[in-house]
Amino acid sequence: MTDPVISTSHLKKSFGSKTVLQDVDMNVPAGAVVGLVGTNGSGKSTLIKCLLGLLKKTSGSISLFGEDPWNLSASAKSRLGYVPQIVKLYPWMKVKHIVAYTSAYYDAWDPAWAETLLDRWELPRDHRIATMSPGQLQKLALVLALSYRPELLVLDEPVASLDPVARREFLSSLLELCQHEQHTVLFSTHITSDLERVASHLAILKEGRIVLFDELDAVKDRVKRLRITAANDLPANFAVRGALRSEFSHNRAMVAVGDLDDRLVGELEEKWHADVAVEDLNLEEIFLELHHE
Amino acid sequence: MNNRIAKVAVIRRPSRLGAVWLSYRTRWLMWILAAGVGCILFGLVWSFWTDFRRSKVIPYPGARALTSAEPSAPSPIPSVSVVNRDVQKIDWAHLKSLTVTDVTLCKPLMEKGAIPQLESLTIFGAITDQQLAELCTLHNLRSLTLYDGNSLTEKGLHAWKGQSRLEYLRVLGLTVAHTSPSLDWPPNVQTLICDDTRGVVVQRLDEWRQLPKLTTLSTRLIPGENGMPDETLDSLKGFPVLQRLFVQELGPYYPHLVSDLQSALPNLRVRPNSFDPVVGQRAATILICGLLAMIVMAVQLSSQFVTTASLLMPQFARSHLMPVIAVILLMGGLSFGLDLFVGCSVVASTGLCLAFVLILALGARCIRYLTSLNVVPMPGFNSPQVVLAIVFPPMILQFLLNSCGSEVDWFLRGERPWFSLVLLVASIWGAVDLFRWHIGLKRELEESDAGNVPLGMFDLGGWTNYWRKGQFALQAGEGKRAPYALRWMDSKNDRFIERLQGGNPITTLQLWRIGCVASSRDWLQATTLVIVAIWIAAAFLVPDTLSQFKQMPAFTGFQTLAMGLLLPLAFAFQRRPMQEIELLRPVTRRDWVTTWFYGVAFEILPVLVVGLVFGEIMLWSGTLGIWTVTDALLATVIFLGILSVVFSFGMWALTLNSLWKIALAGFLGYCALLSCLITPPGLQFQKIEWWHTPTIMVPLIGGLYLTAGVGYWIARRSWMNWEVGRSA
Repeated sequence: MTDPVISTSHLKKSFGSKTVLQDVDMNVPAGAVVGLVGTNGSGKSTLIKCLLGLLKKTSGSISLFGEDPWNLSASAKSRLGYVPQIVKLYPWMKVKHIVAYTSAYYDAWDPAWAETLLDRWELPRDHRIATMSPGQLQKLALVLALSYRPELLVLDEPVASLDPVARREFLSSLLELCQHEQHTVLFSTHITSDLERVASHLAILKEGRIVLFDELDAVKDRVKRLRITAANDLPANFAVRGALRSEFSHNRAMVAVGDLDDRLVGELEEKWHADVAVEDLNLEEIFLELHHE
Repeated sequence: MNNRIAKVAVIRRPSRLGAVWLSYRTRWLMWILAAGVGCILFGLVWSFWTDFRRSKVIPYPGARALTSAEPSAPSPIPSVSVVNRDVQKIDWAHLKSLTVTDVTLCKPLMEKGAIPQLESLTIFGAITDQQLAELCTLHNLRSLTLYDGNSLTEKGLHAWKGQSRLEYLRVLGLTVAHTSPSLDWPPNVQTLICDDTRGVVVQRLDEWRQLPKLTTLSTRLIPGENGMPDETLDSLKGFPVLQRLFVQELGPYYPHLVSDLQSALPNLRVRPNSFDPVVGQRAATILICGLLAMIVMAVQLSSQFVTTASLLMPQFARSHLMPVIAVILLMGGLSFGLDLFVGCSVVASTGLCLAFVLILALGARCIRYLTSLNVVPMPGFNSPQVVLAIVFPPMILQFLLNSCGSEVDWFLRGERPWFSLVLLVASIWGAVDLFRWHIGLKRELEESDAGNVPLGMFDLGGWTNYWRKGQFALQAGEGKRAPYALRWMDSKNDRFIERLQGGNPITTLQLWRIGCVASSRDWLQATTLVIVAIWIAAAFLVPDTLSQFKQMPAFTGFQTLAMGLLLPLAFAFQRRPMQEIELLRPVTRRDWVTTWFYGVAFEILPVLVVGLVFGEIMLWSGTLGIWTVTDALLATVIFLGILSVVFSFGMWALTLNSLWKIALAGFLGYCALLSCLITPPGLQFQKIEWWHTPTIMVPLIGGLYLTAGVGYWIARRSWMNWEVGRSA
């Protein structure tokens, strides 16, 4: 088994007295496409910046390509691509200038691939960056990050400003990149449908902690909704082991569980003389269930 | 649940004006500037308290005001004062200006042909007829100042009748002129200062009337009980080319002497021959104080009206009218302060105080368009009216005080009522116009120049707006030709970028440089052109100040260099948001830091070269006096030390996040910049001699380099630990 591309252990990051990340443990294997989701302010961008060495960890450990990201070597950086949440490029440059400027840093720059991406996303070479919309900037940043085919691509809400067509283009490019070569991708997003389309793994961040990190299919298999119809009215102290959320009225209950197994269904049927229907949840529903207070 | 809600403090709803005040008091920049205003005011009150009664009246024209009456004073290059300097070092053969306490101490002065190129001579001690005759053999002498003419006789004054090149003559204590019915004067003198007329005023005036080139006369006129005697006035009217007349003031005995004479002699410019220079200086200080208050207002208004709320919130503009009125009232109050403490006319000082509003308004209307139309893309500096107000009014004030103090004094006395009134009306118009301009600011930004940052380089939040507004930036201009500066930048990028590859230190540095909006070399060129243009324009507009201009290059040159020094740091500051990406380029953190340090240092290099060349020219041209190689080397060492200090602390400031830290580092850098005044040229310029003492200079230079070293260490450490993710 190969070493994980990204690995964190008990990672903590505080800004003054405010702790943003707490006990974050995560191992991203090579070739994984990890979708990082969380509510606003849950610490997604902070986690990404810590992983890239843009922020200094308060405690714990981080490893990126086996190195400390704070002192990442040049060769490790040449294998790394990053698109920030708000893209900031030199406004006085034109598209062709920023592409040339960026390419000068990377030996592995693929000009043909860059041209393909520029065409695919309809970015005119003579367009000045100052005149571009946030969506166009986002596309340009993606071109700049993808054109040297980095082994690890870190994207902080890369599709937030993209229209549906561009989003689809982006996802197909991402899939193309991942299918041909073994690339690892970590991207944060709020659009769970995109995540479902491309992600192999899911990481859910809640109040600075990773509350769920697993393969997407495994998550879908584990997190389910149970519809319970009992023979009699359910008591006031009705509870289900491992429930994320439960609602009940009279003899009916709806319970979301984080780790379903056959034994649990059997227990419920037996205890309450009930019919238990198991429903699959999509990612958005899983996310909502996990964040239910 | 209800208990939890009850514990949360309900946000109190302030009144509309309260909300405006809240938006002001929560802004750090405002407090920093307000602290500046407070400090100046405190200093002013302190100086009033300790120094007011010790103000002294200086001869006028004299000392600094002399230039207003000295349009063609000989160049003082190279000059020397034998009062304090070792006479053995003086190159007498090339000396052009000389000041001596006692003629007998300066033997070359009495040796024929020893100082052949001497053009300007000032003697504090008494001289005899014989010595005057010797002095008159100096064929190039154009300016002569004698502070003690007591020993000169009628016969001795025959000597300067042959001095045909003498253009400026100032002679004090010429007792022979009190009584003598007939005296000789240099035939081609243009400026004559002689107060010793006593009972023979008319005779003296008749003699001076014979001088065909006399344009400026300063003397003592004695009025009778019914004003100035007719024969005196007749004599004054008969001067062929006289333009300026300076006379003594007689206080309560004859309070309106000067204005009465001006009425009687409309073709002459009549002014008092003495004034208190502190009045102008204090007026200037109060005005700068008011100026800072206005800058606070301008910055605050810009930041308020740049928001979308300015267009959408009801009665937004009306609510923000109050601060404008408050500042204008403050300026009005200052003008009364000027009247009360300094003795200026209320009308004049009000006009002057409010003139800053006019400057702000004009800045907003004119200069802003240059930047908003992207003639020069200068994100971070897009409050040009504020820049204009910070840079130019103090310069203009100082310049006016130095070069035409007489006119400033005359104006402050309220003797230019029409000019004051015009200034006042124009300023009120300016205030209204400035406010109207702010009301439309947001729309203008959205429609035409949204790509520029409106809030200044220290407003970190402004950057986010800048990027988000980018899409609207040039849409109004789509299809138009890009401004020259951008086209020039494009061509530069076309030429260089594509053949650059990172990897070796030189190309990495070149790549780094492409990320700067402009190079310091470009800015030095542009600034030099602007300053030279201002010199030339001012020379034509204010011909009386020409002689003052000869002393200005050192000052303005220093200013240009100071700007050139700060600009690379300012450009670097603008790149802070891009550092997230830049740090992730395939370079180590150490290499990234090194590239930045080298990059900024190479940007400062042109300033260093220009500074050294400029300094050497100033030194060897003699503008700052006689210089030895040791002096020049010392100046260079100190200049480099100061540059290092500014560089170190400037680099440190680039990494800081909180405004206070940035302000602190900036302040340290600025202190270093100001300490240029303690370089040998600066000390020479201020006529301070102690810098020749090794016991002072060695610790000074040592301290300078030690500070630079410590600053460098702090900066390097700060860069190595910089969390760029927090700055983006």
